[in-house]
Amino acid sequence: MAWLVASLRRLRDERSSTIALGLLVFATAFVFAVTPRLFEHIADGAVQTQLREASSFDRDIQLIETRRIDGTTDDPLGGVDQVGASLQAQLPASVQALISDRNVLVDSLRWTVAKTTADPSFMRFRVQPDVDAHLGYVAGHPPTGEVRQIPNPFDASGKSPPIPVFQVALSRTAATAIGASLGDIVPLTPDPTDSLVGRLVVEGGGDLVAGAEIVGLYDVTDPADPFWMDDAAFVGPSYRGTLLTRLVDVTAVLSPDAYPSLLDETASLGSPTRYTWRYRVAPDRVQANDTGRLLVDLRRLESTFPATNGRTTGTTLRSGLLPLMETWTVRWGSATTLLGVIAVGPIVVAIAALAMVVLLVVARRRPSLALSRGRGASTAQVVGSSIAEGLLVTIPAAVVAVAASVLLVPAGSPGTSIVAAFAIAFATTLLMVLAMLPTAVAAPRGPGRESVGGRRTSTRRLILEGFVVLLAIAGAYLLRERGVHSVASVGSTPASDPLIAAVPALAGVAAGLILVRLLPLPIRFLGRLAGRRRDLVPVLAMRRASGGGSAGAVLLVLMAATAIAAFSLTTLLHFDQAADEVAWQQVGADYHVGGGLAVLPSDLDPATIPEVKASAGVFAVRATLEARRLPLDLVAIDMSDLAAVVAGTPGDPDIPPELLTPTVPAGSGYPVIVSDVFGEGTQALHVGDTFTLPVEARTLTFRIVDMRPRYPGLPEDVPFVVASRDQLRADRTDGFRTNSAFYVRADDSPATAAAIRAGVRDAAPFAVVDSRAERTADLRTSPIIDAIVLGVALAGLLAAAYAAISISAALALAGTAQAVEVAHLRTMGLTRREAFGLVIVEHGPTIVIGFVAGLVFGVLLFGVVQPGLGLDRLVGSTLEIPVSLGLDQVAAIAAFAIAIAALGIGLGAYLQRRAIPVSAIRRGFE
Amino acid sequence: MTTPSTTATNDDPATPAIVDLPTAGLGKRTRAHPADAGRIVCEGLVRIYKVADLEVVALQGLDLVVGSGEMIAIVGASGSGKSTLLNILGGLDVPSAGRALVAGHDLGKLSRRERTAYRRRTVGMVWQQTARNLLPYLTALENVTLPMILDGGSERQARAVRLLETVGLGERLDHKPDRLSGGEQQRVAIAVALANEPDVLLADEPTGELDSVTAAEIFGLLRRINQELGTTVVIVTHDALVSEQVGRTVAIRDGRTSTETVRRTELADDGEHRVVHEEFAVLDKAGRLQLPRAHVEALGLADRVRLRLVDDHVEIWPDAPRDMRPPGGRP
Repeated sequence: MAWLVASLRRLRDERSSTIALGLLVFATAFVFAVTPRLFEHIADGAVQTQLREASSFDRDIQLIETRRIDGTTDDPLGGVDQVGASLQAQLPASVQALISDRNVLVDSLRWTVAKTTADPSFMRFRVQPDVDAHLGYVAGHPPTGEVRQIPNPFDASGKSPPIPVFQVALSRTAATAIGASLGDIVPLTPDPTDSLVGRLVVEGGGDLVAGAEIVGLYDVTDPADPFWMDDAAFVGPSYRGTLLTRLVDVTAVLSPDAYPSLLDETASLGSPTRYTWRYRVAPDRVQANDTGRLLVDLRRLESTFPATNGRTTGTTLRSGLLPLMETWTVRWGSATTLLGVIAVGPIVVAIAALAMVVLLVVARRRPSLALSRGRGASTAQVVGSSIAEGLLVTIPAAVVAVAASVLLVPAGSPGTSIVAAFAIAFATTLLMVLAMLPTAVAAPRGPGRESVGGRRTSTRRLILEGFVVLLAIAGAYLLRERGVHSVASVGSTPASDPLIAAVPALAGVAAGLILVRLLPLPIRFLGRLAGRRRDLVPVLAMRRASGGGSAGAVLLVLMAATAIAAFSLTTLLHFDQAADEVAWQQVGADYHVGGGLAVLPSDLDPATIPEVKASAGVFAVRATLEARRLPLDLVAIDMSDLAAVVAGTPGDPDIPPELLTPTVPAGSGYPVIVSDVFGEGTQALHVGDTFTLPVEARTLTFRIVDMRPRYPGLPEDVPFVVASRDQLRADRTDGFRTNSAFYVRADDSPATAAAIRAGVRDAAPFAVVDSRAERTADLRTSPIIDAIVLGVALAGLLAAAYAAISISAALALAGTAQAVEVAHLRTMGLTRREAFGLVIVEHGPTIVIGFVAGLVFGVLLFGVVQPGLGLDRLVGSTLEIPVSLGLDQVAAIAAFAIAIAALGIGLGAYLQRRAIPVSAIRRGFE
Repeated sequence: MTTPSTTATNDDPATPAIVDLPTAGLGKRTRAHPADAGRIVCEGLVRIYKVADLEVVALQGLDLVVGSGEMIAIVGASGSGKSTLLNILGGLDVPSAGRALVAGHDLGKLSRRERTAYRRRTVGMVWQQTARNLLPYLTALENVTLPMILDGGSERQARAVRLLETVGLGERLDHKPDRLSGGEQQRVAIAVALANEPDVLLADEPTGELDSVTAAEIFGLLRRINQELGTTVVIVTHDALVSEQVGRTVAIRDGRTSTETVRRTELADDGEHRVVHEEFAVLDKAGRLQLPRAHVEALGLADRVRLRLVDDHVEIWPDAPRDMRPPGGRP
């Protein structure tokens, strides 16, 4: 113990180096401790934002039952509420924890509007508690529970029983669509095509007739209100259609008080009622750490309550929460994997910096250690004092770092932070012991008896370096081919394989080893060039550089930092380009107006909106390639208009000329572009082959002129057949007239987007207007991409800081001998300026080589490993984006490298401030 | 075996007298030491260093015997091997061949643990660089206590105080090396070397960085240590003051002992005591000896010499007649 106390007195004397080491350990431990907390915090924000931005339909949970639940006059929906509560209790605990509130919709059967209307019209009654608070009545009043009986208007004889008349309210646009006005009684009969009616057994024959008295007309106050859960049923009419006709659906507000009467009046039909309990998911309650358990529970939920599949019995689940969470998990997993790969570089540089500083600290203590050994200290005593000293400096630093990280970022448990911080502390202590071990183990030689002379590289070391290079090449191949995700993660949440993720760092080490071996060649060449000059400085500098010293360490560190910067910047550029190209691929034009496979109103023409420069209509319908039972989308586009919309843009699909002719020779089949999937499997089709598709009771023959993996504006995961609507219409004048979507060309300003949306909404409230510019912005600024950008920026900053520290430590390590040399030269007349020039010229070639090598390596490495990083999961597309780096990015990396080198050399020069001639020479003799 | 060659007396008035420090007595040793505890025997000692691709033979079969309690000086030109010899005797280095026995320890056969114990207890070392003899972050007292701590001794503090008082630094106990003069640092270094009562004290040019007055003080201290404690003292030095004051000076040349100068005091006829120097050439086991360079050059000896045994001595004659010898003794 006394020996330990005596040796630890060293700390008292060497305060500056002890404090410097302690600060470095604190900073490193803090970074390692706070980073996982930060990303946990970001992950929470990311998943919550993703849920918040998702549609209510996707995010929330709906449980649907089709049956009859009795209600009483006193508490019409009491029984319904009880069932809703009971169902909520059956939800898994982790899902229940997310539910903030619950409401219910009660839908009646669909009625046919039994009066003359412009288009066949249908009405459904809906009871939704508290709905009136979200409606703005422009005429009349909210409906009450009063149900009166009136004579059957279809039976002039009066023998039929009276019909019930329910008070309802309609939106203004819905009322207009069915040609109704305030006060009208709309006659209704059950729609036999409705699933709730299909099993009707009417006793006594005849159709049940009911009436809907329109007592109120309203506008929905805010269609985007979360109350609606993205359900636009009350906003206005929706449309269904066939090739020839358009059907109008309206939803009428029915008072909850009328619910018991509804059940009574439809009892004779035995018609069930559809109950939809909506459970609102609060995004703020989702924690990234709990997503694993949540996914398990959501999958269990789907097995407990099967998804809607056309059945009308039992409880069915309708929710996009599971695919939303699965998508997020996959994307976040890919993001963390990518960040993990990027993080390995700064970790290696940080450990190198720690090692360099530890070497510097130990180098200054080596004479004392040697003296202690000379005085009789054993190896164990010296090692023990180093361990004690290391722990004394590093443990408090780690403790403070953990405390600071927990205070700064409260997210998550401190366990990971504690482990990370203490790992740094123990690693630093281990480095100190390892650095000091040669002195502790070797026979002491007394003061001033350092070993002299150079050492040749042993064969063993060369073999080891060669092995590292081969390992790196093999690892890069594996990473590219197999990807960074572990085999176990196939089919489940992706988890990165740490060995594969470390490959880029291994490749960096291998490249560094090769570079260090090759460095003397250009240095010698430059030395020969410099030797032709008469100037002392370049000659001396090249002689010093070719003598080794700190050049190798500076080169390695600078190359590593530059490679990290290049890799990171290339990654960011890739995302930037990918966001743009993916947006063009997903939207297909500046704007895409669509309603899925629903038909848009015939009076919707985006070209009439002033801001629109051009538009092209699209008709889409689901079909099946019977021979292969392959479901697909048949998409017929106005090709003559499409050119005006997409010409000169990345969305230009490069239409084959066969699709641009106005007509098609008879019997040759309509020329089409099809998915690559057509060419797969045992009944593969090829360019030139024909096939037929049954489309709306017609059989059409198509001829393949091109096969592609994707088509702009169409989903990537659905096989497609793209044809020219002009050609189809030329042959079928009565078909393909309705529009499913439009491609629109207009500028991408927010004002234009708003104007287009307003114009579309007037004619088709349910239509969705997709803006390519907004999609690009979403892809670029999603929380996950923000996290990657933050991670990349942090990696670059850390790499720069630690590289600067490493370089300054390396220079300081080599500094004493150099300081003496410079001091000698200064006694001979070398000026301060020339001495500074020596430093610059000596390290200049190393900096340039390190920068160039790092830049090339970083970009090449990205190109090699990019296919295996799973970046397609992040951008949501398998679109291949070429790897590139612009001149401005190269300049930024060059500035980055120069800044690191300048900072490092400046710090190193400061640490070498013994260059006062007399002091340095005097010390040189010690 | 030595051969007397020359004698000389110490009557150079320029040489300052050794000054005895007005300190307390060094006292007695607390540990038992056998009578020949400080005996040093080197036989055919060889040490070869490998520096890059070169092999440097620092010692080429050196023979040396130092009696227990003796004080000798070792002199030689730079690169002659004297510091290498001292490092081997101090347990800091291992001979490549030959034998080195110090206080009964065969230095070529010690295990790592035995060598550590040897450095703690058997030898004390004092190096030339004053600042490097001491740990800079410990006070004088702590530096002296350190070897005792390493050895696990008791009453460390008291003994350390006593040692420092002995060397005249009783009022500098809490001073760190940077607050001590060069001479004071060397005195602390001597106290450190004596901390565990070593049998042998080795000093590698202890006065090399000191002025003559301070050097004289240091030498006086070393002599007192030798006289009062019976510690064998071996001093490697260039300092004529030191080499001319010790009883025996061994000169090393080309990795071997070449000559020894023995000094003794004898009573002259006039009743005055005078110091007599006798220089001997060292004969190794193979019967080889190194003639003093001055003799070689004076007689122009080169390549071969003639030997003649005459009664009780051997005569050495140049090979060629005087008038046929080339200048400088080279053919």
